[in-house]
Amino acid sequence: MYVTQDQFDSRLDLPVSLPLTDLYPNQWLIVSTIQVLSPQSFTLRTLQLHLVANQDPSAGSDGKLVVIPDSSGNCVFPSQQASLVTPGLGLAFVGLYRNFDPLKQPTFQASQESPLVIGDENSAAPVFTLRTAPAATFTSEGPYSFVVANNTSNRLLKLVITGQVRLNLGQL
Amino acid sequence: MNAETGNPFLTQFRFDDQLWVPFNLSETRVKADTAIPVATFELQVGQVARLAWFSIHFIRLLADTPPTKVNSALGAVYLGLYGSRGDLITTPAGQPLLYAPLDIPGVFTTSPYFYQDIGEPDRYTVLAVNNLRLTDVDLCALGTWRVQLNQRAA
Repeated sequence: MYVTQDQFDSRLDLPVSLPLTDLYPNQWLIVSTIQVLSPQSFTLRTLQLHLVANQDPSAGSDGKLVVIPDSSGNCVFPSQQASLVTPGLGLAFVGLYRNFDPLKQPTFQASQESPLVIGDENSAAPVFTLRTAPAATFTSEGPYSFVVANNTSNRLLKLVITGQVRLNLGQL
Repeated sequence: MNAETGNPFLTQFRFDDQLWVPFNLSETRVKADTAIPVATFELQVGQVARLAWFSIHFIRLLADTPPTKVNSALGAVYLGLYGSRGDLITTPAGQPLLYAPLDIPGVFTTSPYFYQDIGEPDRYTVLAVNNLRLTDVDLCALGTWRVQLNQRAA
């Protein structure tokens, strides 16, 4: 089957791209938003998440942690194991949401498909994960947002996201 | 050629002569009265480009009191396409060539069905602009250029 110029023009590839970013405990941010209006649709083709580092948020920029004795003279070192906020969502996750409310936690909002999850309580960076589900197409109108969230209460995560969606404008 | 519509089929050469050049600014806090360059594209002689997708998501406003605009003729936040004739690459100069504004949090996308082909050689910059005084905003931007290189066939 051959492709005409109009068909080629009606398919756009858009990125889902987050350069190396620090995400503090319980923090989330929107990576990209695609607004779909009829007769448009888009297909999620690839999504990859790279956990570059997993650190104690109170450590300095050189990674060193300074612990000051408490009133009893004891040095209490913070736990090195991550404390997960929501079980099953790893250290971090990327979800696709329609009509995402940026004032509410992503875990309290319905995602369009199972989030891409990376790591667990015992993971040591670097960790890499790739979406392996078949390409999924979304046709309902509305703004679709890719949201990345730190699912720990005690770890600073450094993350990179790379992905792509193919938007179909619905023209011939 | 598609006989019904006169629409040409793509040859390998014609396919290779076209580029999609995407850009994505993930959620970023933009300080009051500040512009962030999101993407820069230098159009060479003979090339033709269009912004096939141009979208801004105004995520949140960080204000306790009603904010005021720096330039009342423009949106509170906007994505603007500028040529090189501005004074500084990071300072918006006047009305942008292409404009995606929002006055309240939400998503705005220019229509991909009505586009303008740009053929003038220049350096074009996409700026994400916070047009508010004393008020920071969180926003993200997404878009893609479609560029016709117009190379000569070997």
